[in-house]
Amino acid sequence: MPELGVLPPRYWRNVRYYYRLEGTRCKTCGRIYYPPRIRCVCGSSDMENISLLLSPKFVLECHTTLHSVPVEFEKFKPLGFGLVRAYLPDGQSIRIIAPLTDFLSRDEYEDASGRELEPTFRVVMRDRTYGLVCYGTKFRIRHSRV
Amino acid sequence: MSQRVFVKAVAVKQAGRHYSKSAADLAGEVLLEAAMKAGNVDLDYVVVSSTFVELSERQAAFCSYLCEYLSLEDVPCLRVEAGDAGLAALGVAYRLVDAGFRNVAVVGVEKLADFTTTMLNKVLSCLCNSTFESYYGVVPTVQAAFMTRLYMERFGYRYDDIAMWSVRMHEHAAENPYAFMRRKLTLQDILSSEVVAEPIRLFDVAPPADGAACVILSRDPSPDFRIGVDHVSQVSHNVSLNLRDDLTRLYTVEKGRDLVEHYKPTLFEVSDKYSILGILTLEALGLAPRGQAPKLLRDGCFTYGDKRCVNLSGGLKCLGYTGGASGLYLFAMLVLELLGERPFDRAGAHDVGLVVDMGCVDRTALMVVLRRFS
Repeated sequence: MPELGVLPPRYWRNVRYYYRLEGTRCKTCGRIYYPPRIRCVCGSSDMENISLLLSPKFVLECHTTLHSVPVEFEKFKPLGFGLVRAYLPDGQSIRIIAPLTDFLSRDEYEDASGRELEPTFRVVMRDRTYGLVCYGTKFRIRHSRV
Repeated sequence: MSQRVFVKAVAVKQAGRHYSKSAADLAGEVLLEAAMKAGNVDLDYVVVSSTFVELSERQAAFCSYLCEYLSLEDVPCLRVEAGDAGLAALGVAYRLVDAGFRNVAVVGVEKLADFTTTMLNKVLSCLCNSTFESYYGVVPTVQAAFMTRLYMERFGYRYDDIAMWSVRMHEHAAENPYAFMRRKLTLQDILSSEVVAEPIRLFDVAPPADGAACVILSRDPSPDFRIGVDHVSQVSHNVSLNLRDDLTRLYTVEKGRDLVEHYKPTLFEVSDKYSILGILTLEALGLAPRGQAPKLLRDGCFTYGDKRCVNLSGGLKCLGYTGGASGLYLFAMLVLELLGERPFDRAGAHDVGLVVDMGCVDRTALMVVLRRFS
Protein backbone atom coordinates (compact mmCIF):
# COMPACT_ATOMS: atom_id res chain seq x y z
CA MET A 1 0.00 0.00 0.00
CA PRO A 2 1.73 3.23 -1.08
CA GLU A 3 1.95 5.97 1.50
CA LEU A 4 0.18 9.08 0.25
CA GLY A 5 1.56 12.49 1.17
CA VAL A 6 -1.36 14.34 -0.39
CA LEU A 7 -4.75 13.10 0.76
CA PRO A 8 -7.19 13.07 -2.19
CA PRO A 9 -10.21 14.49 -0.30
CA ARG A 10 -8.12 17.36 0.96
CA TYR A 11 -6.81 18.09 -2.52
CA TRP A 12 -10.30 17.85 -3.97
CA ARG A 13 -11.87 20.31 -1.53
CA ASN A 14 -9.03 22.79 -2.04
CA VAL A 15 -9.09 22.67 -5.83
CA ARG A 16 -11.06 25.93 -6.00
CA TYR A 17 -8.19 27.69 -4.24
CA TYR A 18 -5.51 26.06 -6.34
CA TYR A 19 -7.24 26.40 -9.72
CA ARG A 20 -9.32 29.56 -9.36
CA LEU A 21 -7.55 31.44 -6.56
CA GLU A 22 -10.78 31.80 -4.64
CA GLY A 23 -10.91 34.40 -1.93
CA THR A 24 -13.83 36.00 -0.18
CA ARG A 25 -15.46 39.41 -0.18
CA CYS A 26 -17.52 40.85 2.65
CA LYS A 27 -20.92 41.83 1.29
CA THR A 28 -21.31 44.39 4.06
CA CYS A 29 -18.10 46.43 3.86
CA GLY A 30 -16.50 45.14 0.65
CA ARG A 31 -13.19 43.98 2.16
CA ILE A 32 -11.56 41.14 0.26
CA TYR A 33 -9.52 38.32 1.73
CA TYR A 34 -7.01 35.83 0.40
CA PRO A 35 -6.70 33.44 2.23
CA PRO A 36 -10.50 33.52 2.48
CA ARG A 37 -12.34 34.09 5.73
CA ILE A 38 -15.85 33.22 6.87
CA ARG A 39 -16.11 36.33 9.03
CA CYS A 40 -14.97 39.87 8.24
CA VAL A 41 -13.15 42.20 10.65
CA CYS A 42 -16.25 44.42 10.41
CA GLY A 43 -18.15 41.65 12.21
CA SER A 44 -20.26 40.50 9.28
CA SER A 45 -20.47 36.84 8.30
CA ASP A 46 -22.17 37.67 5.03
CA MET A 47 -19.31 36.70 2.71
CA GLU A 48 -19.20 35.75 -0.96
CA ASN A 49 -16.58 33.80 -2.87
CA ILE A 50 -14.64 35.62 -5.54
CA SER A 51 -12.10 34.28 -8.01
CA LEU A 52 -8.93 36.35 -8.14
CA LEU A 53 -8.21 34.62 -11.42
CA LEU A 54 -10.75 36.95 -13.04
CA SER A 55 -8.59 39.96 -12.17
CA PRO A 56 -7.62 41.78 -15.37
CA LYS A 57 -4.20 42.77 -14.08
CA PHE A 58 -1.47 41.25 -11.91
CA VAL A 59 1.72 43.09 -10.99
CA LEU A 60 4.83 41.64 -9.36
CA GLU A 61 5.84 43.72 -6.33
CA CYS A 62 8.64 41.62 -4.83
CA HIS A 63 10.16 38.25 -5.57
CA THR A 64 12.66 35.66 -4.43
CA THR A 65 14.03 32.31 -5.53
CA LEU A 66 14.13 29.48 -3.03
CA HIS A 67 17.10 27.18 -3.58
CA SER A 68 16.61 24.86 -0.59
CA VAL A 69 13.14 23.42 -1.10
CA PRO A 70 10.77 20.98 0.64
CA VAL A 71 11.25 17.35 -0.31
CA GLU A 72 8.39 17.02 -2.81
CA PHE A 73 9.66 20.00 -4.82
CA GLU A 74 13.19 18.74 -5.41
CA LYS A 75 12.57 18.09 -9.08
CA PHE A 76 11.24 21.62 -9.54
CA LYS A 77 13.93 23.60 -7.77
CA PRO A 78 14.75 26.39 -7.61
CA LEU A 79 11.28 27.72 -6.86
CA GLY A 80 10.32 31.31 -7.66
CA PHE A 81 7.86 33.16 -5.45
CA GLY A 82 6.41 36.61 -5.72
CA LEU A 83 4.32 39.10 -3.87
CA VAL A 84 1.76 39.66 -6.59
CA ARG A 85 -0.87 42.39 -6.56
CA ALA A 86 -4.15 41.41 -8.20
CA TYR A 87 -6.28 44.30 -9.48
CA LEU A 88 -9.90 43.21 -9.37
CA PRO A 89 -12.56 44.29 -11.88
CA ASP A 90 -14.26 46.46 -9.24
CA GLY A 91 -11.13 48.57 -8.77
CA GLN A 92 -9.94 47.02 -5.52
CA SER A 93 -6.62 45.25 -5.27
CA ILE A 94 -5.16 42.58 -3.03
CA ARG A 95 -1.66 41.21 -2.62
CA ILE A 96 -1.01 37.46 -2.65
CA ILE A 97 2.03 35.23 -2.26
CA ALA A 98 2.21 33.19 -5.46
CA PRO A 99 4.60 30.83 -7.26
CA LEU A 100 6.40 32.19 -10.32
CA THR A 101 7.43 30.28 -13.41
CA ASP A 102 8.93 30.64 -16.90
CA PHE A 103 11.59 33.22 -16.22
CA LEU A 104 13.72 33.21 -19.34
CA SER A 105 16.95 34.57 -17.96
CA ARG A 106 18.59 35.85 -14.83
CA ASP A 107 18.50 39.41 -16.20
CA GLU A 108 14.79 39.15 -16.80
CA TYR A 109 14.41 37.85 -13.27
CA GLU A 110 16.40 40.69 -11.72
CA ASP A 111 14.31 43.30 -13.51
CA ALA A 112 11.01 41.59 -12.83
CA SER A 113 9.70 43.80 -10.01
CA GLY A 114 6.95 46.05 -11.28
CA ARG A 115 6.33 43.88 -14.36
CA GLU A 116 2.86 42.76 -15.30
CA LEU A 117 2.18 39.03 -14.84
CA GLU A 118 -0.31 36.54 -16.15
CA PRO A 119 -1.62 33.41 -14.44
CA THR A 120 -0.88 30.04 -15.93
CA PHE A 121 -2.07 26.55 -14.99
CA ARG A 122 0.82 24.27 -14.05
CA VAL A 123 1.90 21.14 -12.22
CA VAL A 124 2.84 22.11 -8.69
CA MET A 125 4.23 18.77 -7.54
CA ARG A 126 3.97 15.04 -7.96
CA ASP A 127 3.19 13.10 -4.80
CA ARG A 128 5.81 10.35 -4.90
CA THR A 129 5.36 7.46 -7.32
CA TYR A 130 1.75 6.45 -6.81
CA GLY A 131 0.19 9.65 -5.46
CA LEU A 132 -1.59 12.53 -7.09
CA VAL A 133 -0.18 14.93 -9.61
CA CYS A 134 -1.09 18.26 -8.07
CA TYR A 135 -1.87 21.33 -10.15
CA GLY A 136 -2.27 24.97 -9.37
CA THR A 137 -1.94 28.54 -10.57
CA LYS A 138 1.48 30.01 -11.13
CA PHE A 139 2.42 33.37 -12.61
CA ARG A 140 4.74 34.32 -15.43
CA ILE A 141 5.72 37.59 -17.01
CA ARG A 142 2.94 38.64 -19.34
CA HIS A 143 3.51 37.67 -22.99
CA SER A 144 6.73 35.85 -22.20
CA ARG A 145 7.32 32.75 -24.32
CA VAL A 146 8.49 29.41 -22.98
CA MET B 1 10.34 42.30 46.01
CA SER B 2 6.97 42.44 44.29
CA GLN B 3 7.23 39.31 42.17
CA ARG B 4 5.15 36.27 42.84
CA VAL B 5 6.87 33.95 40.40
CA PHE B 6 10.56 33.13 40.57
CA VAL B 7 13.09 31.22 38.52
CA LYS B 8 14.15 28.24 40.59
CA ALA B 9 16.55 26.72 38.07
CA VAL B 10 17.49 26.60 34.41
CA ALA B 11 19.26 23.87 32.44
CA VAL B 12 20.35 23.92 28.82
CA LYS B 13 21.64 21.23 26.52
CA GLN B 14 23.94 22.67 23.90
CA ALA B 15 22.07 22.41 20.62
CA GLY B 16 23.62 20.25 17.95
CA ARG B 17 23.32 16.95 16.18
CA HIS B 18 22.39 14.55 18.95
CA TYR B 19 21.70 11.54 16.76
CA SER B 20 22.06 9.06 19.63
CA LYS B 21 19.42 10.76 21.76
CA SER B 22 15.65 10.84 21.37
CA ALA B 23 13.48 13.83 22.23
CA ALA B 24 12.65 12.15 25.53
CA ASP B 25 16.36 11.63 26.26
CA LEU B 26 17.16 15.30 25.64
CA ALA B 27 14.12 16.62 27.52
CA GLY B 28 14.67 14.22 30.38
CA GLU B 29 18.31 15.20 30.69
CA VAL B 30 17.63 18.92 31.10
CA LEU B 31 14.59 18.38 33.28
CA LEU B 32 16.51 16.21 35.73
CA GLU B 33 19.42 18.66 35.72
CA ALA B 34 17.10 21.58 36.45
CA ALA B 35 15.28 19.65 39.16
CA MET B 36 18.59 18.82 40.80
CA LYS B 37 19.70 22.46 40.67
CA ALA B 38 16.40 23.39 42.27
CA GLY B 39 17.11 21.07 45.18
CA ASN B 40 15.18 18.06 43.89
CA VAL B 41 11.88 19.80 44.50
CA ASP B 42 8.62 17.98 43.92
CA LEU B 43 7.18 19.12 40.61
CA ASP B 44 3.50 20.05 40.61
CA TYR B 45 3.20 20.36 36.84
CA VAL B 46 5.26 19.74 33.72
CA VAL B 47 4.61 21.94 30.70
CA VAL B 48 6.25 20.81 27.46
CA SER B 49 6.99 22.96 24.45
CA SER B 50 7.73 21.26 21.15
CA THR B 51 6.51 22.37 17.77
CA PHE B 52 7.37 19.38 15.65
CA VAL B 53 7.49 16.41 18.01
CA GLU B 54 4.63 14.62 16.22
CA LEU B 55 6.62 14.80 13.00
CA SER B 56 10.06 13.97 14.37
CA GLU B 57 9.12 11.29 16.91
CA ARG B 58 5.73 10.21 15.50
CA GLN B 59 4.43 10.71 19.01
CA ALA B 60 1.26 12.32 20.31
CA ALA B 61 0.84 12.86 24.06
CA PHE B 62 4.59 13.33 24.20
CA CYS B 63 4.37 15.07 27.59
CA SER B 64 2.80 12.01 29.19
CA TYR B 65 5.36 9.57 27.79
CA LEU B 66 8.14 11.92 28.83
CA CYS B 67 6.84 12.00 32.41
CA GLU B 68 6.59 8.20 32.44
CA TYR B 69 10.20 8.01 31.22
CA LEU B 70 11.18 10.14 34.21
CA SER B 71 8.96 8.23 36.64
CA LEU B 72 6.88 11.33 37.27
CA GLU B 73 3.91 9.02 37.28
CA ASP B 74 1.32 11.23 38.91
CA VAL B 75 2.50 14.67 37.81
CA PRO B 76 -0.02 16.44 35.59
CA CYS B 77 1.45 17.50 32.27
CA LEU B 78 0.51 19.15 29.02
CA ARG B 79 2.11 20.38 25.84
CA VAL B 80 1.71 23.94 24.60
CA GLU B 81 2.14 24.87 20.96
CA ALA B 82 1.94 28.35 19.44
CA GLY B 83 3.94 27.93 16.27
CA ASP B 84 7.57 27.84 17.30
CA ALA B 85 7.12 30.27 20.19
CA GLY B 86 8.34 28.14 23.07
CA LEU B 87 7.73 30.84 25.62
CA ALA B 88 4.00 30.22 25.20
CA ALA B 89 4.61 27.20 27.41
CA LEU B 90 6.43 29.39 29.89
CA GLY B 91 3.45 31.74 29.87
CA VAL B 92 1.19 28.85 30.86
CA ALA B 93 3.63 27.80 33.59
CA TYR B 94 3.74 31.37 34.88
CA ARG B 95 -0.06 31.41 35.20
CA LEU B 96 -0.02 28.03 36.93
CA VAL B 97 2.46 29.24 39.54
CA ASP B 98 0.58 32.49 39.93
CA ALA B 99 -2.58 30.43 40.47
CA GLY B 100 -1.04 28.47 43.32
CA PHE B 101 1.07 25.59 41.98
CA ARG B 102 4.39 25.70 43.83
CA ASN B 103 6.93 24.28 41.36
CA VAL B 104 6.27 24.03 37.65
CA ALA B 105 8.79 22.75 35.11
CA VAL B 106 8.78 24.04 31.54
CA VAL B 107 10.77 21.93 29.15
CA GLY B 108 11.35 22.72 25.51
CA VAL B 109 12.67 20.05 23.17
CA GLU B 110 13.09 19.55 19.45
CA LYS B 111 14.73 16.97 17.18
CA LEU B 112 15.40 18.72 13.88
CA ALA B 113 18.81 17.27 12.99
CA ASP B 114 17.21 13.88 12.37
CA PHE B 115 15.65 15.22 9.18
CA THR B 116 17.46 15.54 5.87
CA THR B 117 17.54 19.09 4.53
CA THR B 118 14.62 18.69 2.16
CA MET B 119 12.55 16.83 4.74
CA LEU B 120 13.34 19.56 7.23
CA ASN B 121 12.15 22.18 4.75
CA LYS B 122 8.89 20.26 4.49
CA VAL B 123 8.58 20.24 8.28
CA LEU B 124 9.32 23.96 8.57
CA SER B 125 6.82 24.74 5.82
CA CYS B 126 4.14 23.63 8.29
CA LEU B 127 4.61 27.02 9.93
CA CYS B 128 3.15 28.64 6.80
CA ASN B 129 -0.46 28.39 5.66
CA SER B 130 -0.76 24.80 4.45
CA THR B 131 -3.34 25.47 1.71
CA PHE B 132 -2.22 28.83 0.39
CA GLU B 133 1.54 28.84 0.97
CA SER B 134 3.21 25.54 1.78
CA TYR B 135 1.18 23.74 -0.92
CA TYR B 136 3.34 25.65 -3.41
CA GLY B 137 6.57 25.10 -1.48
CA VAL B 138 6.63 28.31 0.55
CA VAL B 139 8.73 28.07 3.73
CA PRO B 140 9.29 30.77 6.35
CA THR B 141 12.56 31.63 4.60
CA VAL B 142 10.55 32.91 1.63
CA GLN B 143 8.59 35.25 3.90
CA ALA B 144 11.81 36.47 5.51
CA ALA B 145 13.30 36.99 2.03
CA PHE B 146 10.42 39.28 1.05
CA MET B 147 10.86 41.25 4.26
CA THR B 148 14.61 41.55 3.74
CA ARG B 149 14.29 42.69 0.14
CA LEU B 150 11.57 45.24 0.92
CA TYR B 151 13.52 46.55 3.91
CA MET B 152 16.66 46.99 1.81
CA GLU B 153 14.73 48.75 -0.95
CA ARG B 154 12.82 51.01 1.41
CA PHE B 155 15.76 52.19 3.50
CA GLY B 156 18.45 52.03 0.85
CA TYR B 157 20.60 49.30 2.38
CA ARG B 158 22.83 46.79 0.65
CA TYR B 159 23.06 43.18 1.70
CA ASP B 160 26.34 43.90 3.56
CA ASP B 161 24.37 46.02 6.02
CA ILE B 162 21.89 43.24 6.78
CA ALA B 163 24.76 40.79 7.22
CA MET B 164 26.07 42.89 10.13
CA TRP B 165 23.51 41.17 12.34
CA SER B 166 25.08 37.81 11.67
CA VAL B 167 28.61 39.16 12.16
CA ARG B 168 27.60 40.55 15.56
CA MET B 169 25.87 37.35 16.66
CA HIS B 170 28.92 35.28 15.83
CA GLU B 171 31.13 37.73 17.74
CA HIS B 172 28.94 37.29 20.81
CA ALA B 173 28.71 33.51 20.51
CA ALA B 174 32.45 32.94 20.23
CA GLU B 175 32.77 32.80 24.01
CA ASN B 176 29.39 31.30 24.85
CA PRO B 177 29.83 27.64 25.85
CA TYR B 178 26.13 26.98 25.16
CA ALA B 179 26.27 28.17 21.55
CA PHE B 180 25.95 25.69 18.69
CA MET B 181 27.93 27.96 16.32
CA ARG B 182 30.92 29.44 18.12
CA ARG B 183 33.09 30.47 15.20
CA LYS B 184 33.65 34.18 14.59
CA LEU B 185 32.69 35.16 11.07
CA THR B 186 33.87 38.00 8.89
CA LEU B 187 31.60 39.91 6.58
CA GLN B 188 33.38 38.19 3.71
CA ASP B 189 32.50 34.74 5.12
CA ILE B 190 28.84 35.71 5.06
CA LEU B 191 28.95 37.32 1.65
CA SER B 192 30.50 34.20 0.17
CA SER B 193 28.04 31.77 1.77
CA GLU B 194 25.41 30.13 -0.39
CA VAL B 195 22.17 31.87 -1.25
CA VAL B 196 19.12 30.23 0.33
CA ALA B 197 16.44 32.58 -0.97
CA GLU B 198 17.59 35.88 -2.51
CA PRO B 199 18.75 37.97 -0.76
CA ILE B 200 18.98 35.66 2.25
CA ARG B 201 22.17 33.66 2.61
CA LEU B 202 23.02 30.65 4.71
CA PHE B 203 24.37 32.70 7.60
CA ASP B 204 21.17 34.73 7.84
CA VAL B 205 19.31 31.62 8.92
CA ALA B 206 19.44 30.19 12.45
CA PRO B 207 20.79 26.66 11.97
CA PRO B 208 18.19 23.97 12.77
CA ALA B 209 19.39 21.61 15.48
CA ASP B 210 18.44 19.15 18.19
CA GLY B 211 18.17 20.67 21.61
CA ALA B 212 16.39 20.95 24.91
CA ALA B 213 16.14 23.54 27.66
CA CYS B 214 14.31 23.53 30.97
CA VAL B 215 13.16 26.24 33.37
CA ILE B 216 11.60 25.61 36.77
CA LEU B 217 9.32 28.36 37.97
CA SER B 218 8.37 28.52 41.59
CA ARG B 219 6.50 30.54 44.17
CA ASP B 220 9.62 30.39 46.33
CA PRO B 221 12.62 32.56 45.51
CA SER B 222 15.84 30.64 45.05
CA PRO B 223 19.09 31.70 46.77
CA ASP B 224 21.02 30.46 43.73
CA PHE B 225 18.85 31.91 40.98
CA ARG B 226 17.96 35.34 42.30
CA ILE B 227 15.68 36.04 39.38
CA GLY B 228 12.00 36.91 39.44
CA VAL B 229 9.54 37.02 36.56
CA ASP B 230 8.04 40.51 36.45
CA HIS B 231 5.84 40.14 33.43
CA VAL B 232 4.75 37.66 30.77
CA SER B 233 2.58 38.64 27.83
CA GLN B 234 1.64 37.36 24.41
CA VAL B 235 0.78 39.49 21.41
CA SER B 236 -0.63 37.97 18.23
CA HIS B 237 -1.29 39.36 14.79
CA ASN B 238 -3.22 36.66 12.98
CA VAL B 239 -2.93 38.18 9.52
CA SER B 240 -1.12 36.65 6.54
CA LEU B 241 1.94 38.58 5.40
CA ASN B 242 0.42 39.30 2.00
CA LEU B 243 -2.46 41.16 3.63
CA ARG B 244 -0.22 43.45 5.64
CA ASP B 245 0.37 47.03 4.57
CA ASP B 246 3.99 47.08 5.65
CA LEU B 247 6.31 44.07 5.59
CA THR B 248 9.14 46.02 7.18
CA ARG B 249 7.41 46.11 10.56
CA LEU B 250 6.89 43.48 13.22
CA TYR B 251 3.31 44.07 14.30
CA THR B 252 3.52 41.74 17.30
CA VAL B 253 6.84 42.88 18.74
CA GLU B 254 5.88 46.56 18.49
CA LYS B 255 3.63 46.06 21.49
CA GLY B 256 6.79 45.35 23.50
CA ARG B 257 7.74 49.01 23.25
CA ASP B 258 5.49 49.73 26.23
CA LEU B 259 7.33 47.09 28.24
CA VAL B 260 10.67 48.68 27.37
CA GLU B 261 9.44 52.09 28.53
CA HIS B 262 7.85 50.72 31.69
CA TYR B 263 10.42 48.20 32.92
CA LYS B 264 13.49 49.80 31.33
CA PRO B 265 15.37 46.55 30.58
CA THR B 266 19.03 46.83 29.66
CA LEU B 267 19.60 43.24 28.54
CA PHE B 268 17.69 41.71 25.65
CA GLU B 269 17.48 38.25 24.17
CA VAL B 270 15.42 38.31 21.00
CA SER B 271 14.38 35.73 18.45
CA ASP B 272 16.47 36.04 15.29
CA LYS B 273 15.51 33.03 13.22
CA TYR B 274 16.49 35.24 10.28
CA SER B 275 18.77 38.29 10.38
CA ILE B 276 15.94 40.55 9.26
CA LEU B 277 13.81 39.54 12.24
CA GLY B 278 16.57 40.53 14.64
CA ILE B 279 16.98 43.87 12.90
CA LEU B 280 13.25 44.56 12.80
CA THR B 281 12.92 43.59 16.47
CA LEU B 282 15.43 46.28 17.43
CA GLU B 283 13.26 48.81 15.63
CA ALA B 284 9.95 47.39 16.86
CA LEU B 285 11.08 47.65 20.49
CA GLY B 286 12.22 51.23 19.95
CA LEU B 287 15.89 50.40 20.56
CA ALA B 288 16.65 51.80 17.11
CA PRO B 289 14.70 54.36 15.04
CA ARG B 290 12.92 52.99 11.94
CA GLY B 291 15.41 52.10 9.25
CA GLN B 292 18.42 52.73 11.48
CA ALA B 293 19.14 49.34 13.09
CA PRO B 294 21.79 48.16 10.56
CA LYS B 295 23.54 51.51 10.81
CA LEU B 296 23.62 51.33 14.63
CA LEU B 297 24.92 47.76 14.46
CA ARG B 298 27.70 48.90 12.17
CA ASP B 299 28.46 51.72 14.62
CA GLY B 300 29.00 49.19 17.40
CA CYS B 301 25.77 49.53 19.38
CA PHE B 302 23.94 46.76 21.29
CA THR B 303 27.05 44.94 22.41
CA TYR B 304 29.33 44.80 25.45
CA GLY B 305 29.92 48.31 26.73
CA ASP B 306 26.67 49.72 25.40
CA LYS B 307 23.94 50.66 27.86
CA ARG B 308 21.59 48.21 26.14
CA CYS B 309 22.99 44.85 25.11
CA VAL B 310 21.17 42.58 22.67
CA ASN B 311 21.73 38.84 22.27
CA LEU B 312 25.01 38.51 24.14
CA SER B 313 24.42 34.77 23.78
CA GLY B 314 24.70 34.99 19.99
CA GLY B 315 20.93 34.66 19.58
CA LEU B 316 19.24 31.80 17.81
CA LYS B 317 21.63 32.53 14.96
CA CYS B 318 24.35 30.85 17.03
CA LEU B 319 22.48 28.98 19.76
CA GLY B 320 20.73 27.08 16.99
CA TYR B 321 17.09 26.97 15.96
CA THR B 322 15.35 24.38 18.09
CA GLY B 323 11.71 25.08 17.23
CA GLY B 324 9.58 25.06 20.35
CA ALA B 325 12.66 25.01 22.58
CA SER B 326 14.20 28.16 21.09
CA GLY B 327 12.41 30.59 23.39
CA LEU B 328 13.51 28.67 26.44
CA TYR B 329 17.12 28.87 25.27
CA LEU B 330 16.79 32.65 25.04
CA PHE B 331 15.15 32.73 28.47
CA ALA B 332 17.91 30.62 30.04
CA MET B 333 20.61 32.76 28.45
CA LEU B 334 19.06 35.92 29.85
CA VAL B 335 18.97 34.37 33.32
CA LEU B 336 22.69 33.58 33.07
CA GLU B 337 23.40 37.09 31.81
CA LEU B 338 21.49 38.70 34.69
CA LEU B 339 23.34 36.48 37.14
CA GLY B 340 26.61 37.63 35.57
CA GLU B 341 27.86 34.14 34.82
CA ARG B 342 30.88 33.73 32.60
CA PRO B 343 31.32 34.86 29.86
CA PHE B 344 28.47 37.35 30.35
CA ASP B 345 30.10 38.93 33.41
CA ARG B 346 31.87 41.24 30.95
CA ALA B 347 28.58 43.04 30.48
CA GLY B 348 28.66 44.31 34.08
CA ALA B 349 25.69 44.40 36.42
CA HIS B 350 22.23 44.50 34.87
CA ASP B 351 19.00 44.21 36.82
CA VAL B 352 16.26 43.90 34.24
CA GLY B 353 16.10 41.98 30.99
CA LEU B 354 13.54 41.28 28.29
CA VAL B 355 13.13 38.07 26.26
CA VAL B 356 11.24 38.27 22.97
CA ASP B 357 10.24 35.00 21.35
CA MET B 358 8.37 34.78 18.06
CA GLY B 359 5.99 32.21 16.63
CA CYS B 360 6.14 31.74 12.84
CA VAL B 361 7.06 34.98 11.07
CA ASP B 362 5.47 37.68 13.21
CA ARG B 363 2.22 35.83 13.92
CA THR B 364 2.73 35.78 17.67
CA ALA B 365 5.28 37.14 20.12
CA LEU B 366 5.92 36.19 23.72
CA MET B 367 7.60 38.75 25.92
CA VAL B 368 9.01 38.06 29.37
CA VAL B 369 10.56 40.58 31.73
CA LEU B 370 13.06 39.19 34.23
CA ARG B 371 14.46 41.03 37.23
CA ARG B 372 17.45 40.22 39.38
CA PHE B 373 16.92 40.70 43.08
CA SER B 374 19.43 40.78 45.89
